[in-house]
Amino acid sequence: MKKVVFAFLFLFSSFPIFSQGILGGRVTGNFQMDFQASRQDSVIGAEKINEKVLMNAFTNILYTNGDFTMGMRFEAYLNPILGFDKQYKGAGLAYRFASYKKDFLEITAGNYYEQFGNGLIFRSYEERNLGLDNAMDGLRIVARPFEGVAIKGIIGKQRYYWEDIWASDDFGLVRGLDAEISLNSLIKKMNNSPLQLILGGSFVSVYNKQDDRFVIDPISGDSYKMNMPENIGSAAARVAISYKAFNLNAEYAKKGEDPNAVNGYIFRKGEAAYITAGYSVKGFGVNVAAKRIDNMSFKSRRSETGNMLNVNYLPALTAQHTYSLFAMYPYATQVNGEMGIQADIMYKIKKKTFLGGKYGMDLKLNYSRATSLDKNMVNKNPAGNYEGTLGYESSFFKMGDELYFEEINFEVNKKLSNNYKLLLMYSYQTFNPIAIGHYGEEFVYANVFAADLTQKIGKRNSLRYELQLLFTEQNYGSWALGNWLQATMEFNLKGNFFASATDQWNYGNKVGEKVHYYNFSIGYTIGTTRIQLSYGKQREGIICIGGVCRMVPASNGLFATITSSF
Amino acid sequence: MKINMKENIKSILCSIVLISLMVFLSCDNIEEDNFLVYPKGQTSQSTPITKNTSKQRILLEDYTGWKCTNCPRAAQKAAELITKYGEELVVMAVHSTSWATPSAANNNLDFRTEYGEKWADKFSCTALPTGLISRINSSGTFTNSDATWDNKIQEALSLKEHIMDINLGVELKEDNKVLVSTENVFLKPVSYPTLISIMIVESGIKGVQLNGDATFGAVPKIEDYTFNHVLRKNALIDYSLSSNGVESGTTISKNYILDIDNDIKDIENCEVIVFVSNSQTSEIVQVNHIEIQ
Repeated sequence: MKKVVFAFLFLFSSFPIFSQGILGGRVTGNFQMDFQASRQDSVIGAEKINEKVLMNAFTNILYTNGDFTMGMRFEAYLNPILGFDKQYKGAGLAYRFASYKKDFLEITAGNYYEQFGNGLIFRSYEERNLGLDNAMDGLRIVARPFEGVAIKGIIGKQRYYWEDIWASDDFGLVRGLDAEISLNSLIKKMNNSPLQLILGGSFVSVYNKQDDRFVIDPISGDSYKMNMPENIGSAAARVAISYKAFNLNAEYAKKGEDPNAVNGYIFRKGEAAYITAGYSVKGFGVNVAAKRIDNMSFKSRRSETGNMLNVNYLPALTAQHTYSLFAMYPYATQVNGEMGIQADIMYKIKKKTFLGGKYGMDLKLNYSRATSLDKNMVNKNPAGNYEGTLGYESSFFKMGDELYFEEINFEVNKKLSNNYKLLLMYSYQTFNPIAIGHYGEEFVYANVFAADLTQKIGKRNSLRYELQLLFTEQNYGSWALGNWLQATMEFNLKGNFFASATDQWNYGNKVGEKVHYYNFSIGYTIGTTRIQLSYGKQREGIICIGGVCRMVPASNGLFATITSSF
Repeated sequence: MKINMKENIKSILCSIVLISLMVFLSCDNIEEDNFLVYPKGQTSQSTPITKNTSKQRILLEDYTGWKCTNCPRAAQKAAELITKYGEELVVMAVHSTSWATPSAANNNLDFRTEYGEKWADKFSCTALPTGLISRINSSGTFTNSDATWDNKIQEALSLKEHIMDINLGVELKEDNKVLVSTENVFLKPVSYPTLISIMIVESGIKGVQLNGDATFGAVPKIEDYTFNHVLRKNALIDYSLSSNGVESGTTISKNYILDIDNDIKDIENCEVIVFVSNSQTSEIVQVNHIEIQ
């Protein structure tokens, strides 16, 4: 690590030698600090915090001078707030880079985030709410030799909390290449064509050193060493087509043999297909999407099972909800295998019609479904399981019998008058707990309603009333027992002050106490700085963003956030 | 300018192809047979099971040697017992001790094996001919004179508990190897560790045998004596089948690959013998044999 920091400082300190006017550049940045103080609460399962106060903080500082950019992010987890991995504990420079553009090249040294296509074989990104950061550390070159042609090359290792990734061969080396061609930009005749065509292809390979892993026959005691592939390759091809109101985006990816802890150390090759199609005109839009994911966990360490060291990203095809009761049963992408479909229809009822009234009305319908793959297990190993075997066979177009998640939701958004705006939402969800790793639990069937009324008071003030209801006969987990009701009132003053009160009430709990999860918040914004303070109870649950999830433990106490940018 | 553009495109496309090839090739592809590195002698390949056992079988190990003048008598006895007991009896001729040491007098025909010598030593087979009946230790001794073999086999068949069956499949491979698939079905629980041994025996080998009894051929030596059930080299001996107890109903399937002994005269005259033994007492729990097709 020291060597890397030294090299980085050297790079920066030597830069003025070949660059003029570096001090005439521009410095920008932002800052966020979260404090949490929570007390023990046995009713909701909140555990005692020995430190009394926990804190997560980071600041980004970016220096730009012409075609040269350098930046850093300092992070501090002293100690990590609840729900964040304890391995984040500590402080330091988590991200630093320098990049410059010259002719048709853009070169980045140090940390970077990057994505090839839809991310099926490579996506390096940060999702702070999930505690996920798989930033690359190495080199990236982007070449744009002609208009419409972009070629990206990457090499490096991925961040793993504060570990010195360069000191150990446990962390794999990621190499990749991506090329994307916009035919409309490249070919003169197609410049003004209504048919827009973009083609792309990627290759990514991870070097994971051979490690000793054995299959032990429990009866004979014989041990069978697994012959691990050290270079795990993957390739993807994609196309994006748009013609007037239509658009189509499709990508297919294939991954080589990659026995790992997530797939149970099977040698079956991975495969992913993702397709979206849409039609959109004024007042009407429809989007349909489908995907198949088959053994596509791709990490730069084969023993890793959490959210870290993901080389790729597998998008979820379910609605992303902002209303908390709608998101109580979230869907986690099944990297070992799933098939999913989603359809969205948006329709705007015109003004001055019977239903549209004076201001019109927006309608949205969403349907999504995710099921297992149709799997036929093949030969077992001498120990009687599937480690070190091909695992299974699966027909590409055939869905499995097991439903993971299904939802239909409907949303109506209507401006009632100059001062009132109403949103109504309904969702019916079928949730299989197996999708978040809980085997043997019963399915959850939930009806969820929301009504959100915003009342404008004067020119810049508003009051918002929100009511949510969740009805279910099932009692899943300690955080989702029976029926729920949530009421919120929020006051906004001149756009820079707000105060809100929320009560999330588990009134249908048939097992334990009918807990009120109340929460009071106030926030104030001055320029680019915002301060927010909350006090209340947070129920235990799961948060999922883009199909990637983490557990959120229960808490009872204060939460403060300061954000700022310059 | 156009030429430059074309040249640039050409070089960039070449670069893309080369780099893509490099990245694509940096992908290890392991053949299914090599996913697991099997212990020596074992393999992931298998061949269909064609020979089952459904009752208890007995292994007669005939310890013999070409210099042993009474051994033709014992061999004759073994042949008679095969006729009598049929599939219930499996015979293996173990040429061992100094009685089997080759010399110019027998044209240096050597049937000895490393494990045959060890067994002879372990079970005290020094005075030949002698035989082991499923390696049953009877009153402190394993060996039995050929005169008692019939009685001992009868006794073993009536007293020995039918604990397991060994079902076999065999396939001659092109690379001078024999693939043996075993399906070991435990009919009763077993509390001791068990070992499995797989070997090839050959019949119909002509050679010199000393003889002291004219009933069995020329005396003092038979020039064109036929040796049967000769234990050959490259066997897999005492591989672990179960390291602890095994429950009733358990089936353990294992596949073995044997190198064919270069001394074998005719593979079509060979058969594979597989036996499972109690690792604590050495007694053979079950045995089966199958011809190599």
